[in-house]
Amino acid sequence: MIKKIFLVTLLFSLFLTGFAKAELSIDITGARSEPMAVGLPEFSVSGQMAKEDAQETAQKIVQVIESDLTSSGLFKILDSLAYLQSFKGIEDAPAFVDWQAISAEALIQGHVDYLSKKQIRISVRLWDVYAAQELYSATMEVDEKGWRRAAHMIADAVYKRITGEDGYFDTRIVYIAETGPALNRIKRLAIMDQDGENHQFLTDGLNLVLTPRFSPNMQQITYMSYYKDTPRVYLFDIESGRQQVVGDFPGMTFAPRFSPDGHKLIMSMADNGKTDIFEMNLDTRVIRQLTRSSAIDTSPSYSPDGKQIVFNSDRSGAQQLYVMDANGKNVKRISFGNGRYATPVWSPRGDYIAFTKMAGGRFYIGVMFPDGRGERLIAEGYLVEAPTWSPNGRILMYFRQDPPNRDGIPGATKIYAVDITGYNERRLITPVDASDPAWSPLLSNR
Amino acid sequence: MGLRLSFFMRLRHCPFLFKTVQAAFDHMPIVFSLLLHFFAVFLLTYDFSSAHQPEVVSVPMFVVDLSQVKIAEMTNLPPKLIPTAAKKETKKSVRTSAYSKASAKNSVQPETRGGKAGTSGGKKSSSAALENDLNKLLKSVTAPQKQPESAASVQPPANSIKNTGNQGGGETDDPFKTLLASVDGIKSGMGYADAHTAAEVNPDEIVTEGIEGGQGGSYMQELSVSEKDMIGIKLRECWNLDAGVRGVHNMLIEIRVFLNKDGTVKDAKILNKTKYNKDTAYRSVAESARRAVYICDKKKEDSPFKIFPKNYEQSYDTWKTLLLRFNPFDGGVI
Repeated sequence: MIKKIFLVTLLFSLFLTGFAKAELSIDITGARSEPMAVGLPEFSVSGQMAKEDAQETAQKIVQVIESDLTSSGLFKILDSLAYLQSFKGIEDAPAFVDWQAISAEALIQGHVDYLSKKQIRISVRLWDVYAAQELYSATMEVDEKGWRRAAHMIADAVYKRITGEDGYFDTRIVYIAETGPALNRIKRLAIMDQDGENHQFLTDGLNLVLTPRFSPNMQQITYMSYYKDTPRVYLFDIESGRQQVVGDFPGMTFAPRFSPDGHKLIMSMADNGKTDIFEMNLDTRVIRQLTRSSAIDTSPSYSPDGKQIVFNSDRSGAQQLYVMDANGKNVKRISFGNGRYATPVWSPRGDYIAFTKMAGGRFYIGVMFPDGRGERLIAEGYLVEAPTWSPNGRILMYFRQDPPNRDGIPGATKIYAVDITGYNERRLITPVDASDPAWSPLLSNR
Repeated sequence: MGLRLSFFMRLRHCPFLFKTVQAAFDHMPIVFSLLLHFFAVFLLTYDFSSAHQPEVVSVPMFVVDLSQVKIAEMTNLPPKLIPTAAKKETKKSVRTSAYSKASAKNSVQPETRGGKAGTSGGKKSSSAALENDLNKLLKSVTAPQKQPESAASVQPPANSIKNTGNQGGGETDDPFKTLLASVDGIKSGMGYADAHTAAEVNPDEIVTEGIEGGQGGSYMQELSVSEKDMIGIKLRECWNLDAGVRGVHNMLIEIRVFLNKDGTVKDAKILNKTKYNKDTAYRSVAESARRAVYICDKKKEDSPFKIFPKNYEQSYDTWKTLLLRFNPFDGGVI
């Protein structure tokens, strides 16, 4: 009987589905991919400051936002001469038709209010011009001297609201600043904002430093340094400037990198002709060996969830990439292409592993999925090496060295950044030659 | 309880229903669950947006056999295309005049016609109704009439009639010549009528007027594959996608577009709101797809949606909502 009731109800339900009407549907496959056109008019000003001075600050903020968004390659700020509307205040409603007329897809409206001579309140609104919708609005109060960082944060917010991913403008880059002749190269640790501003040297250059890496909390940098001709892994505290050697290992240690939670350090140690991967708990200083092979296992990098590690090894005869669990088990080779693979780095968003590839006498920067599929080379050169991810996993930064000149003098080394799609490669301007960059986490997430 | 008993008493004459209802009462939780399921299925499947609208007759591809086309007096053309009363009358009178002129020539009555072109002395003599028709014809046809006259290839009937009339005074006795003149008159009359009709009537009207099932008729033909492709291609050109968004390879964005009768976009809603609210990458791609709809809409006459009022104006109910499925990577990024 229950079956009958069920059957009757089912039949009745199916009968009702007859009311459902077929809707005309159209498939759109593929799209164009161009920078998004954005209107960024001057921010209006008010408050306890001469109008000209306030306008100057507002202009500088707009310039930084424009520079950030443009450098990402995803946005194109429209020429301000074409704007048909200017805003007198943050409450002014946009004339969407006017912005549509110049093909602006998004509009950033802002206002700077001088609460006092040293304190400013910045208000910003982001509009979808075609949908005539406000996408984002925010107000922040900052010290007047902090206008640059505030501008980066606004650019990050715009980036995040449009792309759906965290921005990377409020970040810093640590790198190796190189000076001097080829045979007596001085390599110092240096740090700067991601746009090249606020540059400073962290070490004096007496000892050679290599492979700097940020800790997730941005307070420390780990790197390898030759002290008395012995390579060791060090920790550098950014705020205090203090540096300390990590552990007392019998052999040389190198290629350090923090775990995603910042509590562990993973590195390689070479001893008795073997190089294996070790993990050190920074809280307890307990060391654990993760690989045991007669080959060279190096360049370890954690997955963002900390459960897996990618590294390169020549255990198969040539340098290839391998993935293993964080405890050293389930080692699996993931690269099978021609040539050699090195310096793997797991993307912060987990979807790619970036690497350096050497094949046919050329160097490449590439990405592949963590299971080894979908290898894609996105930069190529005489020498391109050491990729590092932006904190949102969208941009890859690396260094490029020009070929030597006729006299055999090595070419200059420069830092470049490229979008993961392979487009929008741009050079990061540094005061001296630069190599081995490392990208910090987002400062505002600290 | 009493109500329940009397209800059962009535049902006892129908054993199946009686047992079904009895079992239903015995298994209330299951029945309640089934009813809830049924309600859920109903909610999921019923299209509330069109509940108050008349059901559109859905007819598959309709092939018009030209040999079977019936020219009807009543037309199912959309209001915009229905000729005004005066215009209709004009067309009718054009046909009548062509026929009547030919008939007049056939009957060879030169003595009843005046000497001027198209003068319809014969009609004047026939009846008051025809006279009215001719007056209307003269009013409405005066301007176009001159055009065929000047054209070398088309001989206005008036001339032939005139000639016939002129000759008719002395040569009406020659039946062969009369016949030839009549045939000329018919030919030129028809030519005149055709030329005139073509000049006056919009080609679209000629094609669609009164043809049951023809374009613009009461049944909407299925949107052709090429038309669908055209809409898809135009939307693709409007869709500016950030190709590096996380997970973009596996995304499918569905947007329901609500169109006005003139093909402009009334609203565009992103479906799958749960994912939209939870997944910022999905939201980004979905918003770019919605923006594509609006950008295309702003292209005015080049909007992909303009094809609907243009070709399917009568079937507004079938295209007033569209489901657009945006698939970022099947077709590649251009």
